[in-house]
Amino acid sequence: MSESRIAQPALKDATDRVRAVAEAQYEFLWRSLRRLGVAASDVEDAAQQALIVLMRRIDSIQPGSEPAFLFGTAMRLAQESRKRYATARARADRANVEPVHEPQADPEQLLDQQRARQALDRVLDDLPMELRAVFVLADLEEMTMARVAEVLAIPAGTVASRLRRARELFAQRAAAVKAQLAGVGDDR
Amino acid sequence: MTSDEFVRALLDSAKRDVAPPGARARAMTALHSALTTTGGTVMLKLLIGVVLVVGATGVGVAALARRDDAAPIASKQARPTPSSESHVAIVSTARPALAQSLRRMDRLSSPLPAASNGKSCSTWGHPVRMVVENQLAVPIDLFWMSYDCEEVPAAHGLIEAGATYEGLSFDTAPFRVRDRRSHRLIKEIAPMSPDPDTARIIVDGSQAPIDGPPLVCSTEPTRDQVRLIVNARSTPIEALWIDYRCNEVSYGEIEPGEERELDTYNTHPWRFRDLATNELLEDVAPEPIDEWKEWKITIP
Repeated sequence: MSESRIAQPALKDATDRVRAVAEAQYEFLWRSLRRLGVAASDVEDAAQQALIVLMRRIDSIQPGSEPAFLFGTAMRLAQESRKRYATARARADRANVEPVHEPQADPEQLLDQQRARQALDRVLDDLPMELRAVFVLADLEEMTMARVAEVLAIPAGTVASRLRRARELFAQRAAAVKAQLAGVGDDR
Repeated sequence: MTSDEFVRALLDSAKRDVAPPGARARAMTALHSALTTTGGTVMLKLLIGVVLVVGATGVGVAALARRDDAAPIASKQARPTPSSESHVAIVSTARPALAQSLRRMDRLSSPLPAASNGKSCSTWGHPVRMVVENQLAVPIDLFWMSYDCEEVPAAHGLIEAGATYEGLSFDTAPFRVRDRRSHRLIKEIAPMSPDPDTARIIVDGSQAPIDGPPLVCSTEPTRDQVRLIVNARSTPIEALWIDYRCNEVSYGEIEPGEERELDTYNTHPWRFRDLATNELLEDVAPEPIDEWKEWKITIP
């Protein structure tokens, strides 16, 4: 019986820790999944999936590293989500299904938040995941470079170079989307 | 609208990214349910372990009796060199069924503190003879767990593939066996009773990797490399990169029979776990050579 007496407090500690982390980090996890490319309708399911992964791995996660772990898991889930989406789109193409038309809008109307958010998704989707992750943490979560380096477990210099590339690419893609939307507006 | 204003509008739109009402509560409810289930599973495993320990009591009593009969400690000042015997090896010669049960228990109980905290320590004890037989195709390192709970190379640190080491130790000295190349922990050897006929430790690869914190973290790389992972199992596995703080970072699933190229670096370790059970299947150490190379690793 000594084994169970030793193990029970540890088990309870781990359980409490999972609950505490889930409670404290849920919003961050939800935002991260959304901004890393999980469709809004799927984010809640993905967040629960990430928490289950957290629960399975809690013993191997160093205290204080939980947000980093959750963000890493969110990146993986987002990549899988994008892969599934790409597969579904390929299937739809093979079946000659009509492509989904982009909502028509012109740049002025993008002040409308919902359309702006859709445009943001389009721009972010064009960023490779490694750049997107840095951009999300630095420019959307407004973390310091040092904190981004900590969360992604990469050197600060790498964060700086990735962020520079991410911002350049973001600006380019934003300009392209703006032009595209303006073109749609002109056609109307 | 200028380009700058357009970019600002896009960034501002992200500020409204908030979880819908009730999402957190639903997540916590689901998590509570999952945690309850997991706790039950762990307790079941512990119960099995306790039953097996009770079943092994006969062996334990016999060992204690021998220890009581043993001669007074001859050299308390001396520190042990390689030795000892695991309970698995002892019973494997006498009671194969029980040995199998205890081997299973080793796996079940591996996440428990005794196996995972790396703090097995020696105390003073009686001299014993020890034999370690390396039946693996790779060299192994034998470490004595010192009085300070540190790993000290024993047997000059190396037992070649197929070689056998024989030496003296104490019946209170635990040992560890590691793969020489990857430094992966292969086996933890508990202190043993002084029985020269059965004191033989077999390292034959039947031991599952012992779970616990990664042994090495990633460091700044100097060269990119590729690992070609072959999942030879009938179940999906998960590839996990060990990051710069020794956290496991998932790099996705590998289906049964699938070959997956992992673009990595020469200073980055990896781990592979069974996706369904989370069992640690393989620790893959970095290959710190400064050249591009592709390594094929089969997960059996």
